[in-house]
Amino acid sequence: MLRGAVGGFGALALHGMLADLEVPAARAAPAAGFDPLAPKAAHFPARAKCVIFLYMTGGVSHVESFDPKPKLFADHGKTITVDNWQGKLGEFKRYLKQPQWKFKPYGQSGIEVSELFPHVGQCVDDICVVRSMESDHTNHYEATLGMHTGSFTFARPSIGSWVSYGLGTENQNLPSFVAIAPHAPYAGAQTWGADFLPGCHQATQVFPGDVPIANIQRRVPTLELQQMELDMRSKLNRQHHERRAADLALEARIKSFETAFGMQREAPAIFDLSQETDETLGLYGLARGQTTGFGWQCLVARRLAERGVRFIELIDTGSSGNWDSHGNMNDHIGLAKNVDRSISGLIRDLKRRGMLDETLVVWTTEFGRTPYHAEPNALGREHHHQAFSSWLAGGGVKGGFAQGSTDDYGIGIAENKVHVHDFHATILHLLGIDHQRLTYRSSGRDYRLTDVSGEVVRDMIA
Amino acid sequence: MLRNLRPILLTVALATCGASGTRAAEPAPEAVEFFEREIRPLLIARCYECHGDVAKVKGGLTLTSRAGFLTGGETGPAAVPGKPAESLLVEAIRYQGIKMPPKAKLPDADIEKLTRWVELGLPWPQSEAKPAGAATAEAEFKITDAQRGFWSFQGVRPQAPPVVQDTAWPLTPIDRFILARLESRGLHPNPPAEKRTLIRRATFDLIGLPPTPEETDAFVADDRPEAFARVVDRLLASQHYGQRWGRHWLDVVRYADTAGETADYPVPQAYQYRNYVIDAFNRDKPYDEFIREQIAGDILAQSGPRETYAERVTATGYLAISRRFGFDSENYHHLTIADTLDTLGRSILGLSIGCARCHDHKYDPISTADYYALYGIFASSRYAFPGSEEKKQPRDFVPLLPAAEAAPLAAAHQEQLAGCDAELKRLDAELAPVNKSIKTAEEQTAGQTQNTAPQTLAELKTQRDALAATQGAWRGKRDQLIVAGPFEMAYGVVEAAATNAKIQKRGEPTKLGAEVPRRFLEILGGDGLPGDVTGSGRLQLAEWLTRRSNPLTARVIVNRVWQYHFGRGLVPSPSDFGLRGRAPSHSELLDYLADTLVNQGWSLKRLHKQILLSRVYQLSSGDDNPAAQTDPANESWWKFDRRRLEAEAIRDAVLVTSGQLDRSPGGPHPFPPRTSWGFTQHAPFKAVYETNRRSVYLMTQRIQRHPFFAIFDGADPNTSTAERTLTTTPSQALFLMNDPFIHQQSEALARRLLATAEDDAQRIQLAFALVFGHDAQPAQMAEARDFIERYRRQSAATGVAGEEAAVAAWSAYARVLLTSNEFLYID
Repeated sequence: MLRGAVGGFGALALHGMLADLEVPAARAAPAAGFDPLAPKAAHFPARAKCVIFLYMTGGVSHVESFDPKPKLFADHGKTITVDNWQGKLGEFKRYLKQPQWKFKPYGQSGIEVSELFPHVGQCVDDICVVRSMESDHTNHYEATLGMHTGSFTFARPSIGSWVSYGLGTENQNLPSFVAIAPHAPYAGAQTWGADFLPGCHQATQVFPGDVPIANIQRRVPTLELQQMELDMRSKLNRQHHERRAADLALEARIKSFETAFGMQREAPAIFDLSQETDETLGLYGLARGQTTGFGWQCLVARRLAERGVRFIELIDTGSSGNWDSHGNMNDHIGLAKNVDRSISGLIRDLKRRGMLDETLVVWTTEFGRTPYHAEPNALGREHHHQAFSSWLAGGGVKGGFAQGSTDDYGIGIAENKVHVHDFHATILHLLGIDHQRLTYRSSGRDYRLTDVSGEVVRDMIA
Repeated sequence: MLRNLRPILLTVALATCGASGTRAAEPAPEAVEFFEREIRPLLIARCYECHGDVAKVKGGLTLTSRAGFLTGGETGPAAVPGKPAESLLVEAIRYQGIKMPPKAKLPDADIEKLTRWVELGLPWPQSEAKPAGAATAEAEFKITDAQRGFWSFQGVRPQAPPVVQDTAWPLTPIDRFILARLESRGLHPNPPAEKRTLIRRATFDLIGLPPTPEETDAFVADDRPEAFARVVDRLLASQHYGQRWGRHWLDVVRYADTAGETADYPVPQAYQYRNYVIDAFNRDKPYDEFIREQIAGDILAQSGPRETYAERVTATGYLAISRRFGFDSENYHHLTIADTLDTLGRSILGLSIGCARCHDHKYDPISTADYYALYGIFASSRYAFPGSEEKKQPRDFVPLLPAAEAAPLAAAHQEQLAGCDAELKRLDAELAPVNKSIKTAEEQTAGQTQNTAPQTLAELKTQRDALAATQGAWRGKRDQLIVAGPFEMAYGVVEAAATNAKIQKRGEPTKLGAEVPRRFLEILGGDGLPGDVTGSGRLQLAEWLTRRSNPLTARVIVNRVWQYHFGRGLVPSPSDFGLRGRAPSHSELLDYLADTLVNQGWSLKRLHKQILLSRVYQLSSGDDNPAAQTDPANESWWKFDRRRLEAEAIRDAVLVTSGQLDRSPGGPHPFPPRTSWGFTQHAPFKAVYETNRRSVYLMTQRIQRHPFFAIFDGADPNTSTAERTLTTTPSQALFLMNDPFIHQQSEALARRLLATAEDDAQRIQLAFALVFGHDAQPAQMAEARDFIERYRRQSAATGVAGEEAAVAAWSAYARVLLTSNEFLYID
């Protein structure tokens, strides 16, 4: 019904109507057009307004980060039989391998964190650790896709795209979903793609460095010249629109140039960290003038969150040189060092600015690493999707709390399993979204982020 | 939407009022259609969560049958047939007492629909014991009469164009169908579009490019009645027609140049299928034959004629381009077949067959047995293997020539390879003693100096280097032989050992159930393979899909053609003709077109011409019509819907306007040679190959999207795209403002204007003619002159030298035109 009224947005509006999600703005005032990125009401009051999603590519060892296993230290070298080794079923004789890093309790809660993350450890009272994560796949590509889209095989919209579709965004001069990533992780751009959702919900990639967003820099020599060009285009477009006044798509495109011009003006300010104090830069482990590194990614994430960007994903490394430490666990040292201080800086900074309450920080990876190895005294660890650790902070979660647990060695889940779908359902819930009601009709089926399962883990919510 | 229903509802009311009591007889088909189209989906979506077949029914009220409404729940009957005012249901949805659904009030349109449904006496298909939605995987699957009676499964009926009042208006039978509806709604269609608008519309529509100024002028000057028909004929004969319409099909079959598994292996041969599709459209290959070749081209090729052999084999690329999964993709071949079936269902039949992989289809009459019956056909076929992280070299590609001709060439090729191997081995043997001597000599030199003459060592090294160089040359030769292959091969499919598939419970290939004989979908006949068949069954499937008694194939393609011409199908869900899809707005017209298509030998070009020569295609897109109030969605086609150019058309139109378009057809992509492939998920294949050819020839990857298509809503290379959902985003505007491509092309256009026209006035006129297809108005001329002059002066002031300042100014003006709405939209 809206199609004629809004031209190019027609198909979109139609899908919006078919979907279960309420879109009050579109219902109330179809004549005003349907802006797919306009802020939308949540299903119920939200605890978090925005998400900063920290993704560690390659599979972080859970037994050496957030899941302390004293018995694994004690039983080092003992042989055990496992029935699921990297997704293969059978009987496998394996040697237990003790964690390379010790754990110690932090904060009032006394939650234990390993030596790899001493700074994150300091923030543990704000963190809800999930020690009972479970994924469906043992391979990087599928597990990465699953963690981002809820689908382990076929490409589907990314969690950030779903959130953008469900809630719109606060700042129309900026994209709703931003992925700050020096490289794409496994499964490439599908991890932040909108798939069947309208293209405006895909992430805009921000590259650490001097040109953070494609085409954000003016190509004509001066602002005056560009302004002249913009005015001339606008004049032509208005003349064209006069004779087609009912077509809101034309109006929307005229506006999109103004927005883009606004982005172009606003973007340098986002990436200009010169007004940040030395103390703040230090918090993130950043040197003045530095435009790369995870610290830069974290600080830019905070600045985007301040400006109303809905979903900000940070990816630490690409599909090589990452946490996939098959050969030697010592690789974890540098990778942890790369992110540890910056992450704690982000949490502290958000907290002191009063932003942490409404900002959900998510830390995760695609799977854990085997607490055992086929070889005695092997230096590395392999993929382990049956149990691993993630955590959430801020945005309405219970700080200083550990959800679920694994068995003595960190091989299987002992209690309160949190499957990737549950993890997603909980994140959406904190944003005020019922994961079962956020659906989109594509080719005859109503799809959702959590496929056909997922339960909100209420214990994790403050 | 609702208004459109009125005429139907009227008949429904008449048909049912005689029986409007508590016990309705089998309701009229229109009433059932209304129920199936409007009411059942609403009940499923908004009521069944609490009042469906659920464990804990709220308030004791189950609304999955008519009886459920009549019996009601704890608060009494939910509805009284024919009496909305006495029905609790109506009260509840109006939020006048009990509020239902509790979470949010239904939209007014839905409330009105449900009220009408009560008014009509709750029509519900009688024969149905249980609603389709309640089918479970465990229950035995049985197609209900209601499902059989669903509109899309009915045979295509020849339709006589209806009688209309204004007999002067229709130019073609199509117009009579459209006008009859308009008249019944009291609407008047728009006047015809201006000729300049019409030729721009038709040219973009048929070839994806703007008309040249000369073409536009010639058409405007041509007063003959058949002037437009001539334009249409010219466009249909253009090689660019296939590039445009082939791309539509490539959307539907989720074409890509890579395999899509974890390392996204390139498929250098995929382009042959792409070109096959383009050629098929250009040559107006009958659509039924086009489908048969894509399903069973390798088998059809065997029966000749010889000159079609390569083409038919290439057609099976339709199957081979199915997605691959995992790092050892052969382990996930069941998912690849699933992808084939999903795409086959959507693209050809407009059915979501894929839903029946794990359970019987929840809405449509497709069982899991149906699914695995088809699955067996593809499990009995061998797909070319593109390579993967685990097995890096491709194999099983299909020779583009018959086996008898291929065998000697293959043998010769083997011999050449064996020759290389032998030579390499011989060189190894020759090299070994030399290396040994060098080693000995060096050790001796290191020890006592006098025994070996330095001269000898140098000679040995020279000898070694010469041998190594020869060896390198042989290796190169061997690599070249491998890359070239014995003959050209296609990314296609051939017959493999025939076998029936077993049902995979919940889609798990390890949880096998009963074996299902290969056969066609039950709802479409359920034909089995003849007893003496030895092949996979693809040949039979190709026939079943394209026989006259299958109503879906023809309906789906005419609907797609209509959709690409008008921006929206007669059935607005072009790949879903099932219960969850949307019913046709003009079902008689849909059948008329489908019937005509088949009668005209499945010629798509004749279909295009029929549509383009209709009055309805040639209407203006203006909104100055009272119909804009009554039918704002233009469901009755009183106007032509304005629309944005798709990604390809934007890029191609910019290139042709700047004079930079390379019109030659595209060939293979410059992929690295296969002998060098070592792609893994840690270092997947990733490339963007620039070209000034038409966008259909750009290399399309599955894991990485081409940046331009990602921004401008290009087709999804991973799943069938039935419609481009076009968005308007600031990223697009940033691209149009700042991307080097736009800057290069606008500068090329500027230089073209500066070189071809003599003064500024002429240049501006030329720019308008090229970009918009009409003259600049005097005011526009003045604005343009003023802009260019100010821009030039401003540029010069920033230190840009004289002539370059002019180029900069004209480039800026060209950029404004090329990124303006008038250029980006078609009226």
